[in-house]
Amino acid sequence: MQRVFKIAENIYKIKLTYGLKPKPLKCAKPTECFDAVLSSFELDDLLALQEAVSKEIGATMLEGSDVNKITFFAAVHAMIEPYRVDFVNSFSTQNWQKSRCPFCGSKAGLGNIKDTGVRKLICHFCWTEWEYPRTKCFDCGEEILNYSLFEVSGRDVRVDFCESCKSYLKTVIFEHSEEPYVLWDLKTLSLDDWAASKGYKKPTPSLVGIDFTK
Amino acid sequence: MGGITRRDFLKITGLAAVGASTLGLKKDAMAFEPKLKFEKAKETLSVCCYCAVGCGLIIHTLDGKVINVEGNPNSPINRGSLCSKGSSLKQLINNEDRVKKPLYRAKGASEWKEISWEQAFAEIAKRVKATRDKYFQYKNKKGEVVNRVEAIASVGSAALDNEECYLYQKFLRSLGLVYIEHQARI
Repeated sequence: MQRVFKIAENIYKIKLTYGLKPKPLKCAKPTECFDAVLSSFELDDLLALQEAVSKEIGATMLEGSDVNKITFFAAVHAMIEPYRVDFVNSFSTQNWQKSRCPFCGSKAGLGNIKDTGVRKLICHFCWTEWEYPRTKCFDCGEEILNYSLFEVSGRDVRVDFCESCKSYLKTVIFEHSEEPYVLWDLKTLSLDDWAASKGYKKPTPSLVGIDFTK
Repeated sequence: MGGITRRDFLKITGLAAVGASTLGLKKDAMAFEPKLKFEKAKETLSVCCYCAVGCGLIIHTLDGKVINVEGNPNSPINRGSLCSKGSSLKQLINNEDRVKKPLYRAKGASEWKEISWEQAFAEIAKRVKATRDKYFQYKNKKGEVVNRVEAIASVGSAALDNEECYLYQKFLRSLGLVYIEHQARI
């Protein structure tokens, strides 16, 4: 139980603390971008980051490939964070209304309905939030949305699903202030099993970069 | 450390790691047991039936029955909010006391009686005609032609759209009404 909390908390902490300061990016093709991101950092910075990530997550939690995957995910997070913060501060997502993340172009990994009724999608990769119409499918854009309502440790969590593309998205119905979304994504892993047993698929892995449904 | 390249960094951090054994982590998460409240509800967009503002609604239905009505936060008209009348829309839908047929209480009678729509239309038309014929003014005191009826007033109707209002207005003017008002003036 504690491990779930710890992993989520640590990724969140690393994301906030270890944001490096890279040089400006120059890459012509999307395939070059990742190399460009890496080469824009000092190697010592990267190694320091890797050490920090391993210390925070790796040693205490898991074995083998799990550590590597989560470490890698956290490292990439820390690298893109400065760009992402710049972007989020200068871009209003109110009129974005698309099913892809306005920053990195990935699909949503979790939904959130605010007290005002506004629905936000959360990018499964970079955790950027953006506004999205309430009754639209988060993947194919179908106008009718079905949902089942659950209570998970005292909170309402919905599983939204679309009958035309057979995909689903977990949606938490409360404000972000108390606990990070990544924690709730992990706390509700049993809902992923439930949705899979009903024949629905999630187009994205969980918010820590691992697909638990496999 | 000096011998490590950026490629090696990728290797160390496990870019190549596929097929993670995540059973342990998943077992932890299963401790949070979800309680199913209800299954397969549906969200549908709609528009409030009351006034001409036309606030957007989201109707939640479960097995064909309405379980919740809320304002649509994406509607540019109301941005998720509803007035007190609109917020009570669920009671309009699931309400045994709602009047669904015209009721008539005859002069001196103490009970309401159900009548058909045809009877109701005929009764209304009869009374409008009688009142109009009785109080129609061709000329005012100064002798100017006015062609008006001051004994009937119209108050409504907020639920009409622009074109319906146009027709309604034409109809009232043709009767000679001058007291034409709207009930949704706030």
